[in-house]
Amino acid sequence: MKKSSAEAMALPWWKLAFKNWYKPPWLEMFVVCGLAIVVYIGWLLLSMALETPPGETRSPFYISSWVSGLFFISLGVGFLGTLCGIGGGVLWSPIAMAFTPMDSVIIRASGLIVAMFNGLVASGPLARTGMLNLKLVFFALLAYGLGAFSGAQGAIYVAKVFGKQGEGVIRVILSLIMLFLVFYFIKGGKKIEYPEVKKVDKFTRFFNIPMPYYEESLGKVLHYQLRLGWLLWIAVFIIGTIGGFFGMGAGWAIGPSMNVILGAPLKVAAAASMTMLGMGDCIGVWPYFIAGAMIPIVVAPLLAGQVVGGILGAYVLVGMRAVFVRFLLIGTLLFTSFGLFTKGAELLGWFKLPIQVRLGWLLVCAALVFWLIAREKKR
Amino acid sequence: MEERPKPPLYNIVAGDILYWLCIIAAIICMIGPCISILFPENNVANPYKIFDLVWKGEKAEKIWVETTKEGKYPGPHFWIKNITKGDGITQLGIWLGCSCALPAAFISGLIFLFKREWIYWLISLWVSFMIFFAMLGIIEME
Repeated sequence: MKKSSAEAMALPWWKLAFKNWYKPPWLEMFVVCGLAIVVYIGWLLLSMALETPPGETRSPFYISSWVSGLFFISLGVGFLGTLCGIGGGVLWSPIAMAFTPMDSVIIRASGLIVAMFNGLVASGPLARTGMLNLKLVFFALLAYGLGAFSGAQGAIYVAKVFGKQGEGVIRVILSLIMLFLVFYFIKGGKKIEYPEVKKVDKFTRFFNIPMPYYEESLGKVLHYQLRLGWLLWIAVFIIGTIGGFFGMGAGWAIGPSMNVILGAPLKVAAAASMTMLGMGDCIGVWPYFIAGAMIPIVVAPLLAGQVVGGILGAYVLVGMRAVFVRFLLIGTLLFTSFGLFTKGAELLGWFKLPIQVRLGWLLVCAALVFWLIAREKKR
Repeated sequence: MEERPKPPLYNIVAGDILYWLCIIAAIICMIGPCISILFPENNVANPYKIFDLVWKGEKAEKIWVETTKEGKYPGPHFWIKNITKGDGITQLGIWLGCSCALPAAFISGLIFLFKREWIYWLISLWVSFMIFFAMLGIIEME
């Protein structure tokens, strides 16, 4: 045990992976990544040789291109979402709503898939390290499940009742949420690595949530206390409703709430938040499923992309400078927010912007990201 | 150096169930669409028409009407009767992934029960029922 942990410290993760390819978790990582390459690259090339079936207007290559394309988009979103610790839903749904003509209910259904799977796949390794506190997950899940389910039902109701106007309003509101997130990420959030809880209230004590774990960076067992459990329930319910309604998950807010309101250590909050979102969205996703919004051939590559992206992202995260990822995220959200607003305005009949303006805004966002990175490097 | 506390059994069991079901779901979801494209007749919904309708911005209801022989959505559990079909297999993968929290919550709940942690047993039972009822479509606001 001591030898293997010393070895793990000395070798980079990819060398360790190749050396122990036949052992879990590397074995399944190689199987999933290998199969993804065979299916989404190998199959795509192979489909070029297949003939169009009689009576069909589209070729197998056309269909395979979309399947592979969705996989790679999801892979990128899942990878970036894991690096930023926010899940992929917050990126996928707004981007798809802003830049594709897809129906918003289908986008939100697939958005929940994108939001939940990279968190779910991370649960296994996190549970074994002891950083994941299942009691904390269940405690928060009580409120989140109700919120996510109500939000998803509300989304389907709004789409049915308000039609095109509703689609426009949803996009405009979502663009404002994105803008709020941009400011939140610029400010950096008020996160504390190891919050000190001086007074534990009776309500929170009743649930007996804390679970000591071994903190690698400190080299000691960390005992922590929690507070204001009732306030966390209210916050999580509201966040869950928004996440379920817009199909964007809630990774951007649950972790920080657990950290700031409840006083959970940052890593414990992040681990619990990822697992809770995944489990909670298992409730929120079913109204979409039952409404028929889960089109198998569209959703399947997104699911696979999240699992592969989540696994890869978790390993790359170790050696990554988080601040650069944050800047990239700020640029993406800013661009998406603008796209969502203009698309919403177009649907509501307010105005229609030419493509040149959108491209110009893309350049502005890219320039902002480069400027932020350059400024950080100077520091 | 302090000794590492051993993670509780309910943690490991829940984490492993979620992890492995996700991996299996992802593998099924990779294979399913290939079968759909290779054998277009062997599908519930025609995969060669779906993307055109999706990119036209059509609603899910209309997509199912135009691509299935029955002309309607066959329901979220349609893979049970169509397990040999391409999209039946794909749907099984998605279904498995979207329901993975049910066995994780239920089995870890049983461990809470044996450990006499009543409150968490009740919560895990509640979560399991929420997922189960959501799957059946029993919990509906409309």
